[in-house]
Amino acid sequence: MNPVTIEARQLAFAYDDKPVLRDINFSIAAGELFTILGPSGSGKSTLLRLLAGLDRPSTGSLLLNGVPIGDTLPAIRTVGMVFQHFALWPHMDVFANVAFALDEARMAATEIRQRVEAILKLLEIEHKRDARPDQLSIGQQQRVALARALVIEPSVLLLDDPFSNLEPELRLQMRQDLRRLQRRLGITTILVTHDQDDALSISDRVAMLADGLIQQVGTPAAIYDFPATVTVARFVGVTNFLPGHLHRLDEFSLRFDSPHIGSHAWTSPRPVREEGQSLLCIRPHALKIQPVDSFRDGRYIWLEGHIHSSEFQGESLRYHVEVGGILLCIKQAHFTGCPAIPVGTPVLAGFDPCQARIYPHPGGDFPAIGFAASSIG
Amino acid sequence: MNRTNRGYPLLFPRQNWRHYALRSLQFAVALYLLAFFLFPVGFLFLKALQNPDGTMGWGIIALLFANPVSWESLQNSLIVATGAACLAGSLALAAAALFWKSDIRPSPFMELCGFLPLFMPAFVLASSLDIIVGGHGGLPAMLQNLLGISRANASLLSLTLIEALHYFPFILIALHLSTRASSPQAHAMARLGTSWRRLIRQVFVPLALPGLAFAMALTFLKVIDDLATPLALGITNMLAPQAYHRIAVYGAQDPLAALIAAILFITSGLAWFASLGFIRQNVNLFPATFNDNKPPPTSASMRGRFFITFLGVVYLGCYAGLILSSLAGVWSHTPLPETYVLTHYLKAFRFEMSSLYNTLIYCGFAALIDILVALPLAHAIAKAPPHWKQRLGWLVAGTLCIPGVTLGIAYLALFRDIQLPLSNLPLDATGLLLTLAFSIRGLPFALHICSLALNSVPASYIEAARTLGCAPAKIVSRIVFPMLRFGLLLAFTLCFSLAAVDLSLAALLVPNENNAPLAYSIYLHIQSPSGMNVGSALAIISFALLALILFGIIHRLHRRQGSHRPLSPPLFPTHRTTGFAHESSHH
Amino acid sequence: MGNQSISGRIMQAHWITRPYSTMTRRLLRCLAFGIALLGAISAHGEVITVASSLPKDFLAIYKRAIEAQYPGTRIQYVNFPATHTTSFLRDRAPGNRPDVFWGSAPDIFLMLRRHDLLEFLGKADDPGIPEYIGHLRINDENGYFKGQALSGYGVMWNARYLKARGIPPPGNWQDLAHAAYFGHVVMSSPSRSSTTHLMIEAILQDKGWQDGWSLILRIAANCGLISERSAGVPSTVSNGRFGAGLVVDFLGLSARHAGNPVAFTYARPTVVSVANIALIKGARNPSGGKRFIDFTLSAAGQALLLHPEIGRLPVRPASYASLKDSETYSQIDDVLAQSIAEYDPEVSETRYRIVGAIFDQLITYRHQELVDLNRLLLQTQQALARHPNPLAEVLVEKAQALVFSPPISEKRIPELQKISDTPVDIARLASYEAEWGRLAKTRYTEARLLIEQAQSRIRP
Repeated sequence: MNPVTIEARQLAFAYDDKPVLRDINFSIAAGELFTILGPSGSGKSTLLRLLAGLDRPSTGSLLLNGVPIGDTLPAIRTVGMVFQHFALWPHMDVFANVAFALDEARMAATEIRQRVEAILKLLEIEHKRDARPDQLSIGQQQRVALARALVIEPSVLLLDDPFSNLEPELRLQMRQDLRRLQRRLGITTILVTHDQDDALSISDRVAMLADGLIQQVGTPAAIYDFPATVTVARFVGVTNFLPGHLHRLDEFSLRFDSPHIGSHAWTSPRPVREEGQSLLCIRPHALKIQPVDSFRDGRYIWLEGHIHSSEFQGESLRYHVEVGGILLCIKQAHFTGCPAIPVGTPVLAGFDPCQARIYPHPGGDFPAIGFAASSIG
Repeated sequence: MNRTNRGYPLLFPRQNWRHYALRSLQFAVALYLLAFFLFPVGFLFLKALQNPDGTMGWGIIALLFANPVSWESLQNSLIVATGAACLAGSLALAAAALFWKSDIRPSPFMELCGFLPLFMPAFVLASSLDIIVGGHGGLPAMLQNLLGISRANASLLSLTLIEALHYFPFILIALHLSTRASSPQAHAMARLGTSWRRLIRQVFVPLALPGLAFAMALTFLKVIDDLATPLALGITNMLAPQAYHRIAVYGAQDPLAALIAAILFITSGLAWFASLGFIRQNVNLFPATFNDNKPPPTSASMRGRFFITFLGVVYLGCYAGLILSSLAGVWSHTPLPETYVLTHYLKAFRFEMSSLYNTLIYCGFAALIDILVALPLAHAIAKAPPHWKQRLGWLVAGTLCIPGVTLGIAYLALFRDIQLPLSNLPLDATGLLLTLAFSIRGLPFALHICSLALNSVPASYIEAARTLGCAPAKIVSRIVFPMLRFGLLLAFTLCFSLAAVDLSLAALLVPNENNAPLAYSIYLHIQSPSGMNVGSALAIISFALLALILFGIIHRLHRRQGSHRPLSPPLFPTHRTTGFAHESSHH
Repeated sequence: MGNQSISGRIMQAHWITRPYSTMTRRLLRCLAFGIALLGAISAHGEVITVASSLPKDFLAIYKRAIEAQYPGTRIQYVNFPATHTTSFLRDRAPGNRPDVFWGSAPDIFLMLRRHDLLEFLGKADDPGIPEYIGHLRINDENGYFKGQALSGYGVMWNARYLKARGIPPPGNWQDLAHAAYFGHVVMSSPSRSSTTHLMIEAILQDKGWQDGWSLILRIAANCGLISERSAGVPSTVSNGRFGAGLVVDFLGLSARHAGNPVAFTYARPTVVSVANIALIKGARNPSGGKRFIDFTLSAAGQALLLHPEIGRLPVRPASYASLKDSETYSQIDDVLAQSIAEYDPEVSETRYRIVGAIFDQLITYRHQELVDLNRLLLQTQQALARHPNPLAEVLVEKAQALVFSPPISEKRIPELQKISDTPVDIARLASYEAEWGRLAKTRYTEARLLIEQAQSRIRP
């Protein structure tokens, strides 16, 4: 079976005249694990339903290997879908659940048995063949759902938030298993999730969806390091936002005037194009803390403040440092035996301006204090 | 396996076809409701507002209320129905508070027994008490001598007492079920120093109120519709017996009977809407067995066991007359029978199995119709736009409120002279009317369970089948129907049992005595000289059958629990987000 | 995908889909159930439908006998009080009515004939059944219905009950109006029991309108219960709830046969009526109906009447010969000797609805007040016996006269005769009913005031 490519062209969907998806364009390479990441209500499940054929796009087209499929029955598309809560039919045992589609296709009984047993073996749940769904653990249920989706040998595998019910440890294991399986089968897979860790850890590429629009498509690192918009920056990872005014000095140098950290000028690695009200974004791990009287590295911009609070997180410590009336979130590696800096200690917080990203923010109505946006959990 | 390269059949033309199928089904349901509920009731009102000479006007109303008996009947009906509901309600409130305070948890069987009053006519209790209190004049005479009140008041009081006694277990269980969950927290709060008085006033009563209002309203509806119990006690001056008398003497075209039936309907409707204000929030009337995955704790407190045993003994005592009478050979003017025989049971089995068969046919088909109507109706209500949802809601409330007497008289008036097309039989000689009337009366209950059952099938289960290439008809037969099965079975059993005891309808619509359902047979027998004992035996047999059904349900539940299949997700969703509707998946 | 033959796939695929196959079986079962119902509705074989007010046990015996004699025939009973017969039959179109009507009261048959609901049967031609027994004409002289059995009316009482209270057994109707019987009598209403109607009519015709109603009201005031169905009378007397009741002979006799300590006597003046059987006009199965009638009149059918559970008097004199314990069975001649000769079913038929309506408005719906009033009356009379007071006596007599008299005089009856079932007639009767209802209420209130006045005079 050859992996297929998927392409969406100006796809839009409205529910009761309320636009849910607008102008969706992407193309997925054969055998790719493509993740659609977005907060709840962003329309990501709807996008998946359009792909599965459960809903029909209002406008635009969906292409499978270059053939439009927007109007076809779900059955024709040979997509395997794993639902959010797995949707295993409670009145059938594992075998019947998995065999259902083959049975519907009027396949011979011996072949059904062979294929179902093969897929159950592949997913290591052949011992639960005769169990009912409610007798399975969540992990096993997920495997059965996967088996049910894969047994028809689909050309596309659609996963609707498959890890949302799992405990953290199991989640880690399951997504690695899924990744291995996907690699092994080489099947084009679309994963929908609201969890950035899932998205960043196993995807080939990630599409960030918010407010019915695709904000950015890229590799996980590109999404994390170079968020295209404030929305992406806010949703993926934790970021400090500093409002201020950007002045373009020349093509590669700029000055950033902030009511909180004062005026700083530096040379940008990329050409500076915009000017005006902006937001400066710095990841917590790009900031470092030093004692006030220590040596100040000239490449860094140093801000004076004091420790407001601290959180011990095992491998790291997270400090909130008050600088010019705002709180900056700073992540420091933890070393065995080193205590946290006491609250109230005056410190220097520094960052390399090359690590900072500046987004135009014409409204200027961003919260006045440094804003550490974490993804919604 | 890659079929994507073939030509793609269009998705939506087939959906249109399905759409029309669904529409025609809904149309059939609408037709059924129109023909067998709205139209007969409308006809009844029309007749009640028609002067004898055929013009519209208040003539019949003036004629009816010119007779003081009619006023008294209205008053008495209201007094007895309100009195029985209030008396049973207040007693049940006190008992439920005791249950709550002592954290008494009756066994599942006991909980289901609380619903027995809905499945047994009250007149059985009345005749049993009559046998026990015996003497002469029965309960009314005893009350008269005891309290020194007039005979009329004594009769009304005894009717009220009997009805209250009959419906008390139902109200108690309704209250218990709606408050049960908060009992452990209340105990924790009591240990922390909150007084029980305060807890009962501020926690128990507000929690109990919806269940209380619902059960009391239902009691009111049942009592005001009760025909057999007042007649068994010799009380004629109530609305239902008056209407029945008039129909019996003057036939179906009597306009006064139509008017009385209309008044009964209006009264019931008003009572129901008065209680609606309290029932706004959901009333959970499903026994623990249906809701919990784990079996309820069996270690009841000493006090709880004592209290439940006490209630059991009281009711057993009340029905002792029936048991004795079913076994009595000769029993005349002595405290206990002189001889005991089993021949009544043999007689009941030999000659009255036809009534059991009739019950199966009438009630079985009524329950079948209920399910066939309730499923599309529940689906339509779930999908309907808000204003239609409200209208359908009123309609369903109407079917709940309509007294059996009213429906029976409306059917008699409307469907006389209508021939069945094939068999050259008049419609009212076949028992078909009885089946249809039973189905109308059972509809609200079937609808409730069907909508719960439909809600319990998440949209994703159907979509999963669709993505796997399953055709719509197959989805219904292999996914939806098996998942609804238990709910449908429950709806069927409920409707069946409700129809089996609907004596008012049976008394009006039974085409002939051979075709009488069980409850009516019991009624006829208990009233006949040599059949009293056989009637009692029949009543005991039907009690046994009911108990068998209850055991069957519990057994099935235990089997499900044994296989660790939780019932609550498929049948009684705790939150409605996983509905049949698609909305939830769009955000 | 695979490439086996389609049928093979279907056959083999079934083992996976267990739920599906059980469901199919269930559907099949439902279908079978449905067919069974259809079968039950469109009744197979020959069905004879008999409308009757006779007791269930009684009918069951005939059903078994006739179904045994004519295999393939099924007897179906439509059982309700005979008083409902006319409205029941008129509500059905010709061709869809029951085949036979079988009942105790002759006036119902006259009423049916007047409404043109009976088929002409032909003149009697059976030599075994005489034209007259005593002074009673057995068959209808016009040939519309035939006499099937004789029944007399009287009082049954529970000997144990009366003995425990020291009440003498009743001999005739007046005894039941005696103070000793207060609260111990039970009767039914003429509008729901044709036998009760017959007894009421007999009293009215024997005593006259005024005195007749007076006696009926007195008996009713002594009643503990106005029973809903006529069968309620023997059952409450048998089980000892009440001491005495007004019943038709066979109900009393069959209760005695069941072993209860009850006795029955033909109260003087009694009326002996012929229980008739007739073919209904517009019957579904007239030939079957005819066969049913012939069977009930045959020697075999008549012998069934002597069955102890039935206890009726056959019209075929030869049948009495088969009687084993002839001492306990009432003899036809004794009964006839006691009966009033001049009972006129025609008179009864013309005022059928009126008598029923008066009884209901004055007695059935006011029974509780009537009983309370009577208790007060009896107490006052007892007090008067101890402390005689002429003024009080006058008041009591006035109260009695007020309570125990008919609501309209006999002269006004013609204006109410021949009430039919049309809405206009029903409304006309309803307005009279309302008048009587109001009258009863004011009368009982006034009488109570009078008696209370009398009481206040007696008490020092």
